[in-house]
Amino acid sequence: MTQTDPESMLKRLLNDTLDPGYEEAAKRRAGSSDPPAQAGGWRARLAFALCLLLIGALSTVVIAQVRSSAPQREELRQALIEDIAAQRAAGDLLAARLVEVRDEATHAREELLTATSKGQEALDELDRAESNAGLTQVRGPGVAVTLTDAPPPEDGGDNLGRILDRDIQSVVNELWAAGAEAIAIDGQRLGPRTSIRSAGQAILVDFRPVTNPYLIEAIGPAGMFDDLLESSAGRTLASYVSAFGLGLDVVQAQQLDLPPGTGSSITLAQPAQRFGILGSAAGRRHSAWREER
Amino acid sequence: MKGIRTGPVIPVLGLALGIAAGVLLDPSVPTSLQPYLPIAVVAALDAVFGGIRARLDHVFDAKVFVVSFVSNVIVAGLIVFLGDQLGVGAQLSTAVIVVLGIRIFGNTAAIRRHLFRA
Repeated sequence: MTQTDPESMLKRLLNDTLDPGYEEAAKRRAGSSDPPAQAGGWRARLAFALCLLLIGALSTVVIAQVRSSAPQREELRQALIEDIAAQRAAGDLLAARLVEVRDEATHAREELLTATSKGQEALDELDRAESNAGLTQVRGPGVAVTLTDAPPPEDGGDNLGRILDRDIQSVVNELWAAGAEAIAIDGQRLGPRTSIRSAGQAILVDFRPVTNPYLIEAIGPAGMFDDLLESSAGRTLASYVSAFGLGLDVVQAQQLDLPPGTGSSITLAQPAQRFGILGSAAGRRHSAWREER
Repeated sequence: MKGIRTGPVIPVLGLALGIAAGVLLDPSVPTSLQPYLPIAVVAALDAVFGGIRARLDHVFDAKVFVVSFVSNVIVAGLIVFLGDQLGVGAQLSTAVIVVLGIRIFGNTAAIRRHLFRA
């Protein structure tokens, strides 16, 4: 076996498993009178004993550590899962409470404002603003779109037919474009500030998870049905149905009941008039834009 | 010191004391060192099996054992540390484990041949 043999490195690795130091030490000793067992003197033997001490301690520590960290990880995971469930329940409770309080406020407001004509005007305006913001429960005709994940592939590979956040986004965008007035995903009403995005494998609507199958309900004109299916998003999804086996089901609905959105308070964005922006360059551009319409 | 036979008493006693110390003292290892401990143990195992084989081959030398053990552990740790710094720590750990594993296998095979003549 020579150094130039391309397989020599592997062969040496497989065959010469003994530290070459032993061989050399044995050769060095060949001339001396020391029997092999006592070669190296007492200092080497002491170091030898210390090494073994270290090996024993090291192995024990590592084994103990690996053993103790495995259940810890499981415990931590379990604790996190419980945390998530608890926080989600707390969030649900707060959302329900919010709806309740908002109802109370609405009733109180109606009682007070219906007394005067000016109040009635203000009430009408408020109602309009609230329904525009998706804060009221609504009912009407529309379409219901159901998106379903394709069944996982048998070979255990990546499921290309899984519904992604952008599939839901594109359907929602097409529905808005087709004139939808209110949309809910899995019973979560979309407001002006609602996001649809994915976090890992989960899809979040308004930061709350929604799960397969995804039901998108939209109240709007009857034309939405054809508009959606003929839109580029609709055609793309239809092609995914044949290519990847995901489920797309669109039906006309005579009556859909959509829940109110939870809404969110706006703290930084103030109505422009309050700052006199209408007199500024931006304001002039805004008025010109309004006049065009 | 001449005349004292270095039988398996020292290694067995050392190992037993080490294990006892590890169990009883339960020393806590700094977090920064923790990733290198399993590698160190495999490197130590390599040195141990090398030592047993050398003894059966009648070429055992305590000094060589100590040097090979210490350098094995240090070099294996350094390689993995360097790999961590370069972002290939997991791959280099695998490389170290594979090479040491092959050596351990080779040495245990030689030990087996010595003990069972097969």
